[in-house]
Amino acid sequence: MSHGHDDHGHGAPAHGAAGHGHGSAHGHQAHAAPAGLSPGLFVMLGAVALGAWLFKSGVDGHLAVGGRSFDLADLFDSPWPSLTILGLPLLAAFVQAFVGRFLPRRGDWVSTGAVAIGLGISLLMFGRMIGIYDWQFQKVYEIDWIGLFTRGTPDGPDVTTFRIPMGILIDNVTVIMLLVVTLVSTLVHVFSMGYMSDDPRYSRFFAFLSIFTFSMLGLVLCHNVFALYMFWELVGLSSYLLIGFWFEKKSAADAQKKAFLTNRVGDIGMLLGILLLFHFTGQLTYTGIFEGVAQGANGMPLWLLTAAGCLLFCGAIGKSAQFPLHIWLPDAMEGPTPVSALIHAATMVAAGVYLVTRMFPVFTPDALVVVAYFGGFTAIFAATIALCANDIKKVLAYSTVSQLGYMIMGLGASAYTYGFFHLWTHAFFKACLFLGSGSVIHAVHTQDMREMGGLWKKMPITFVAMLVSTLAIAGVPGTSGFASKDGILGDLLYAAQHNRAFWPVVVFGFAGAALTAFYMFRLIFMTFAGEPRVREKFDHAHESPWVMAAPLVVLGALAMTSQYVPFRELVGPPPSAAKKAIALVQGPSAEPAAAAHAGPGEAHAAPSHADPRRPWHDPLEHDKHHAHQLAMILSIAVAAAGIGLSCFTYLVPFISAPKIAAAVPWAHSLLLNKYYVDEFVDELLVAPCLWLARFCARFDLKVVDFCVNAWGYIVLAWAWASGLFDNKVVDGAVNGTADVVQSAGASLSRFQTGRVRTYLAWSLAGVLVLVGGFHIVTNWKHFRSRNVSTAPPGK
Amino acid sequence: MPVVGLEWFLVIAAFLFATGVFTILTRKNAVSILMGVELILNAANVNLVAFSRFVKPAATLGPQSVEFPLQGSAAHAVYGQPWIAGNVFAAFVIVLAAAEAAVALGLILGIYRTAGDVDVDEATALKG
Amino acid sequence: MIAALGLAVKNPATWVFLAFAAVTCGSALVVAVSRSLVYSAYALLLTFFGVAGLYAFLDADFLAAAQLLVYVGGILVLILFGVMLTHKIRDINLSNESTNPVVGAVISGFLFLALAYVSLMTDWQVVEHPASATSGEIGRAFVGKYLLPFEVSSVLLLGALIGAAYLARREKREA
Repeated sequence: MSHGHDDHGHGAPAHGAAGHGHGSAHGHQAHAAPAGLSPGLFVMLGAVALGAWLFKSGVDGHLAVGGRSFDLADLFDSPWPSLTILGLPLLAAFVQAFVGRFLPRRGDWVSTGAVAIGLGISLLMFGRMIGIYDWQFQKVYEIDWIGLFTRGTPDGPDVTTFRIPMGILIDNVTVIMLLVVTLVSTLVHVFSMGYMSDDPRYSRFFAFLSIFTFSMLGLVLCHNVFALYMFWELVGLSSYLLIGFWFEKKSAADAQKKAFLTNRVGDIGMLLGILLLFHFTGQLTYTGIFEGVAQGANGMPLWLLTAAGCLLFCGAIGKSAQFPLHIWLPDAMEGPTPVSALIHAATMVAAGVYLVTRMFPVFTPDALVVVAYFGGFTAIFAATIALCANDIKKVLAYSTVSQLGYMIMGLGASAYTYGFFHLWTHAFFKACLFLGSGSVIHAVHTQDMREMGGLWKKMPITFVAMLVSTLAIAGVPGTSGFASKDGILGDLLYAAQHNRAFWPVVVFGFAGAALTAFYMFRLIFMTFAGEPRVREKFDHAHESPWVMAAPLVVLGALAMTSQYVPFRELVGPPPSAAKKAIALVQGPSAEPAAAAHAGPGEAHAAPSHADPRRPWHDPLEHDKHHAHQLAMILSIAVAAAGIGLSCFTYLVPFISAPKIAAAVPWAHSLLLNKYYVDEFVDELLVAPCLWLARFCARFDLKVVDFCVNAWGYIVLAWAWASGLFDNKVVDGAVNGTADVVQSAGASLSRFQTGRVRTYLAWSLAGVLVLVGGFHIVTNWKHFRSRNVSTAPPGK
Repeated sequence: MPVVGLEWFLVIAAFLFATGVFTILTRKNAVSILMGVELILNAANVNLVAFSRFVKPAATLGPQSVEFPLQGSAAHAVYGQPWIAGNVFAAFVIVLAAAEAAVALGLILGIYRTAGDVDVDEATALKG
Repeated sequence: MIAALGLAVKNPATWVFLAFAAVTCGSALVVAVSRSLVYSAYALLLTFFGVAGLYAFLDADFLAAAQLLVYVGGILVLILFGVMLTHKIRDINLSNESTNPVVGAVISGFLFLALAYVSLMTDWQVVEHPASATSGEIGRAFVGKYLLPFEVSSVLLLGALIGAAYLARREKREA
């Protein structure tokens, strides 16, 4: 496998696909079926049947194997099933990293098997969740990870001053996320067996995939923000490792650095948000924080709670690639395509959405408006960039950014259920699209859609799977994407009807839906329809082997069926009293607005409390009905408009895209250059640093030197008698000033030297400033009494 | 009780720590930096032992009723003195310091052999 | 604090303690600022002695002994070997130049102030201990509650020994 190809991520030599073990039908015939009735087909059908059987067993509550029946009623009564799902990929990562190279098939079955077993358990749990059918279902298992104590009263009990619990939280959201992660991860593992088969670092790739799977599972399982942050960074690390998997390419190495650093910016905000919440509530667990916030959080002012929400959201901005930190995700497409499908489409980038979902009760109405605006703007912003992109993976990347914007926007408008629902459906159809694009790239060895065309004849399975997923993402009725996107838009419309602040977001949402339909069908038409544009690439194209086609089929099927999970009955916002407290603080005048986007389950959750087994029903359902009807009509209309326009532009060349581009050249170049955000960041962040350094130098040169000279002349003229004495003293002072300024300038310019010592100095200085500032800010009231308590306030 | 209070030891440890940090921050010689690290480890050890001596042990080490079990009592036979944990930890730190010094000096010798110098600013062969 | 100081001054043991503290801090300062590497190393010896004295004042007899044996007897000798092996004999001064002393002094100074502030301002919950020899207790802890870390650290030491020998051995000359 040769590396360093610029135009396509996986660098197989141009004719290298012929060497594939599975590629039995990559001939030059028009209808090349993928290996006909190969064993792969039966394996796939068997796996699907096994999965369905596990799911059914979960629903029934017992597992019947060969006449014996295992009771699954207590599946959630111990943490071990979940910990098995979590632990196996970690084990596999170690095995792969150390001995993977020496195993048969270079160990791909270790990683794949580990995550497949996890998928089996997840399916059981998912079925059990449906069987239990309780929207308030929740289990927590925790241990004290760190606990410090001090003596209370002389003979009284000890007081816990500081503890960090560690544990897992299992509720419906967790179970659903577990299924998403293990399912997409398993399929991507299988796909990678084909896609990466020529890579010299094959076993390392699977080790990285396992590390990622472990981190992502930990992220969704943990029950406290401390562990959440750790796993948050771990998924960032695995993303870094996998984006730069082909690190010989400079573009890949740059992309991985960019992804990591951009994420850091958001993560700092998230850390500050966590610290704020911890400071005021003294709690790290989700439930503890929610209860603390609901009880007023020891006098935490409302604006600070809003700020904490916005800071937490910063983490989501970074990880879920929201504007303005979206810049890393398109570059991250330098990684292998299965990685793009798993990490940068289905799971890791959804972690930001998961974060907002999890921490939903701490978001005040004001914070939610901020969230909604960021999401809405990102949704339309990324969609417009995707209009002009010609790289098939870049189109999908911007589409991912846009769809994540949808989820965030939905959450911001209190469409809690639908926002999370969209995460679920999007994971499948977007993973399918990415894997499909991987299949196409594997076949034609280019990522440029202008060199494709007419591929449906050569790759029927890929074509059908991608078409189905495109229908889903475009929001065509009957697909999963329609159900979730339409739900988000309906709730948005409802929120806007009660709070005028949401109207721009609604416009963004519907316009984004039209654009999505347009550019996704543009992708399909340019890739699969029409006549082949580059004949020799077309002639080499072939359907992918079953190991790659099977995941596409499964995901395509899920794109059509995943909306039948009873989300609206099983996933409701946690019935926290937090929102009630906020509504109280804001006073009765703010009640309607708060109710409008505090959403269901808070102020209206009382009836559900009476009977925890009763399925959750949206108490505003009746009110929302009208808005949802209108939204459905509108969203079908905009989807149809987008698809129609795309047909007339790219299928039937009725409208000429180049002419439109020529008519508004400024808009075209704006979109081609992605609104110049990257350049803007360079100007905004890099340039000021350089400017500051230059300013210091010039200040030193001009002002300080001028002072020196002026002083010298004045002193000479004024004090001839004591000239010697004066010269020494004054020059000493002046030179000292110059030295200070110079060394300040020098240390500024030495900010990034690659010397560990300098970094140590900076980090220590940072710690000092943070600790000092924190101490002064929090304790300035107590300074007079000098009673510095080690306990958290209010204890 | 010891002749002086806890704060004395903490302040001395803080001073040792600060000098260690100063050494690491300002020295170019790798051996010097190693000395700075040793100073910091010593500061941490003084803190550990001082807390072990002065502050009530964590209740997690045993039932609260046997905070300071008498010599020869059953509780003592089972749990020992809970407050000894700080001393034990310090002993482990000394062990680790020994291991660290040995490995660090091995590294320094290696660098010296390849680069002919132990200036950490010059050891940039691995810099990206 | 001030009152306690007044009481303590009358106790001769306090003066001994102050002497140890002064030796520790003073020699640590020499380690940090001395221009000669050999002086730094010998000052480090004094610092280790001083810390051993502090351990004695903390009734940590075992640790005081371990400090002398391991630090003074082992680590310091290692460091001295390091000094000698990495410099040529004719370098009389064994240059030990420092960079950026201002920045370092400011940062470490503030670090010291912050730590000292926390140490002095915190209301420590000090309790009476029955004074007793620690060696037996530490031994009991090593073979009891802390048996696993004890064994692990022994393996670590062995690993460090092998690793150090491997790193430091003379490379094979290739023909």
